[in-house]
Amino acid sequence: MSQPKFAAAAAALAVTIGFAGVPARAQDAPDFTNILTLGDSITAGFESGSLFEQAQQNSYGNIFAQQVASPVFAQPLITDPGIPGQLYLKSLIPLSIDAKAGAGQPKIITYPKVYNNLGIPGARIKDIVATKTVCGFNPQDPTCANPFYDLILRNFVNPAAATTALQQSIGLAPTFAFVFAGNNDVLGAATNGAAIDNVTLTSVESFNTDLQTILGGLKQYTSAKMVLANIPDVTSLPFVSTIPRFVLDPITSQPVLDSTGQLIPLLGKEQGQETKPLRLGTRVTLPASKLIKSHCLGIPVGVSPTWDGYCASLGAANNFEGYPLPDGGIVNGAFQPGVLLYPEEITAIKTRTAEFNEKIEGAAAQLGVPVLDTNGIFRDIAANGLIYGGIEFNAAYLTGGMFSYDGIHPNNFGYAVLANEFVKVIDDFYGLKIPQVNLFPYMFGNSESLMAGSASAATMTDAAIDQIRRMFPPDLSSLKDGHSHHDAQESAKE
Amino acid sequence: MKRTIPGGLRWIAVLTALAMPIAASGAGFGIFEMGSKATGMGGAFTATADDPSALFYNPAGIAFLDKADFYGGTTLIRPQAELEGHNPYPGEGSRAKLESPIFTPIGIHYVQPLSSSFVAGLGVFTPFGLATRWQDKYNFSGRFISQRAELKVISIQPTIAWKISDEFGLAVGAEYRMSSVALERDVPKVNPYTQTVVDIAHVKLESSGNNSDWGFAAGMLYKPAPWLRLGVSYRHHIDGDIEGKAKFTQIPTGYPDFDAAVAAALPFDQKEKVATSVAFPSMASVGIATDVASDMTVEVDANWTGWNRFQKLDINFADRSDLNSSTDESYKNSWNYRIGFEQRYPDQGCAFRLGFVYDQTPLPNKTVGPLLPDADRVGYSIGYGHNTATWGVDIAYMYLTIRKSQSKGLNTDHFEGTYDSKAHLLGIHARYRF
Repeated sequence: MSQPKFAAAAAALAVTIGFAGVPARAQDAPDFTNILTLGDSITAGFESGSLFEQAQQNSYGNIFAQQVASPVFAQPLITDPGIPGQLYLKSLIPLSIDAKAGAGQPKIITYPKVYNNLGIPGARIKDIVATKTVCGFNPQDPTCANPFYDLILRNFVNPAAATTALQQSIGLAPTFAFVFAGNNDVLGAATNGAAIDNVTLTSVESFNTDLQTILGGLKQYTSAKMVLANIPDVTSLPFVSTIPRFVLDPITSQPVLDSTGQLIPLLGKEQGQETKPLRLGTRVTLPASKLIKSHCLGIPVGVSPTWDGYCASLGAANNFEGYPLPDGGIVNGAFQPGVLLYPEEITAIKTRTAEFNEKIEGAAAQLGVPVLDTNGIFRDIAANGLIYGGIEFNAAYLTGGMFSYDGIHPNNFGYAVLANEFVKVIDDFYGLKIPQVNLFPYMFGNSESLMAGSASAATMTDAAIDQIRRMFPPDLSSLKDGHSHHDAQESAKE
Repeated sequence: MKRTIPGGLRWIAVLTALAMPIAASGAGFGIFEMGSKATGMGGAFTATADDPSALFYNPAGIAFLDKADFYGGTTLIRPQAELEGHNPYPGEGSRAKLESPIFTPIGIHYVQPLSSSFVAGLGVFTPFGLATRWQDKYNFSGRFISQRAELKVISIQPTIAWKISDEFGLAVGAEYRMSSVALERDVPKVNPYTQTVVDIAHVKLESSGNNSDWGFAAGMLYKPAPWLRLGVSYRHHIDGDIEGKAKFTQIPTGYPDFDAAVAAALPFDQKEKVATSVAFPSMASVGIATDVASDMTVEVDANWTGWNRFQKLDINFADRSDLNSSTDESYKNSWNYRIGFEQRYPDQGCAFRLGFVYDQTPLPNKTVGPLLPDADRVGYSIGYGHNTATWGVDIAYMYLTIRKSQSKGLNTDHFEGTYDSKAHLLGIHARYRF
């Protein structure tokens, strides 16, 4: 063979070998160099009513970044006991949940770039688009309900050039983005015991507009590939599904039966109606346990000698036996939180969630990105539990192994399962082989614990309840004189 | 169907008690080594069937034995298995090993001709067995599924065979099968104080009393020519209904009120009555043996086992039905194929044997787990026999390599692992013809 022909043949052979030997980088393969997670408290790694480092390490973004060996995943880490102080189990029998005293400090508030984790606890979807601060750019303000915008967006550095979470997401120049938002657009209804359109349940139109703004912004101004997640059914959370609708004995916690052997419903009061036994399908949220134990609220008079004796021992000032558990709602133009969700409210929450999810799934289909069906996964876990290694986990409060002490957010293991589900859906959609998360250390981990403190008659302390409520304030803008939620902040500055 | 032991046969209970737990050498929990000549030939013995161990392989074989004949011995089995874990549980880097003591299933057979046409036989053997015991059992990552699982079986088979002609024999036998089980595992619970999984109890289940059931076996052996034999045999399925006791022992967690709640929920330190049932499969074998030379025989066999019957393992508590469990097994019918070879030296009175077996596992991927990490097996055997007119001895060695079995992300308990197993078998049987 002559030289040029040989060279050509060799070149052709090299090219062939090259194609065979070197795996071609698929044009569609995602780049995980700079990951963004955008959303709310679930994205932030919020646990037990608090944002703190040991929990933030388990945010799905951080776990995912480890699975793909991403070089950096910066989070707004906060020291123990977290902001606000995390909830913990003080004693099991009698059941008492309390909040740790003190507050944590941000560890890297001067981090020079945008955090990779822009999950802001309490953020609704319009907050991601429009909110720059809630505390007037002062994260140290002790009266402020939600310091997280300031701790995470850090607009206090230069308030005049303040940016929103969406703007910072774009500024991060992410190569891959997780968008998991909208939980708080339904969650406030559950935590406040009131499903009210535009107050605790965002409207579908408003939700969709903001969703499109977020996704459109990321698509237009970044090269990030994405994954979205839909919204789980908050009515299946332990916060909403732990306290039964019936009277339980104050000492034994066994159901109290009437003379015909039937269970006895607690008392509630719907708006415009009189006090009545709770209807079938009514849910009682976690904070009710304290109202029942400390004030006998919801307990019918004469239901059992044990209860009558117990309520009398509380003293006249504290004894509200015969009074109804409070339903949430608007009374005389002011919003009152409550602990009851009536069947219509449950339906309203489920319906609104489904409507939001339709918009999320539609947007994902349009963009050609995968959606993690957290709604379906959580529905399955709540109904059937989850088994790993012959160990059963479920959505029960305290012993189910998946939720933290606020009854709303996952615990370490729950977050690891969530991260693993993201791995699976991304592997599936993009044809990758990212290894699944090793769940063993999350199952058996070395979490700290606190020894039982002195027994307390209260089940969830006032501090603990307030803490949870403050995270999910209702949008009262429609009750005021037309100013928007955000305008109120702006005018507060002046 | 349970039977109480007739008074005169109480020694059978003693036999059961003395029997050791047995490692399965066949796929699933079957055992196929009842005679060392057969083992030397890879278990391809349905058509050859020319010593009293035929009572197991093909009872019709005893129709052609013309003297009182005793054949007894054991097969030493040493299994080994290692587990490598995968994500998400028990995770990459997790390793475990089975304990590997030596197990000794027995095969004791006696044959007595009754007349020129009829021969009686009595066999005592172990057609099924299981022993999986994980090392370091209190730390084993699969301890909530199984730490120890043992199944002991002894069968007694009185048999009658009829030599219809010099070419054709039939036999039928009744099989009295006694079974016992032992199961151990830890009970997990999420500790509400730490939100992590802790061991709250250890439970041990052991069968008690005599758990026995009847079945039958039958066979046919046809010799159309001196150099050609065809054998067919069948062993009927048996429902091994077993009763026993379970005992829970509490493992303290260090949290007194949590421990108190656990103590109120589980029946600690008392024996709870339990019942379970092992659905033993039917087995059918067909074999063809041919003398390729005057003293050289080759046999090929195909065996079918109806494992499909074993779909669930239910454990029912007589007084605490809230503790009942039902484990999905979903076994599938399976085949194994055997080829055996014997070269005889009649002047020296000895013989050499070689064999090969391919044994399909009845377990689907989703059932592969710590209770029985099974997979398809390939076995290679060699054997040697020495015989005189009266006494003889057979020895055989088989090496079983079991393909790496994997749960492939499908395990029903979400316990993902790759199991690497093998077994060494050494059989020795002695023969005496009266």
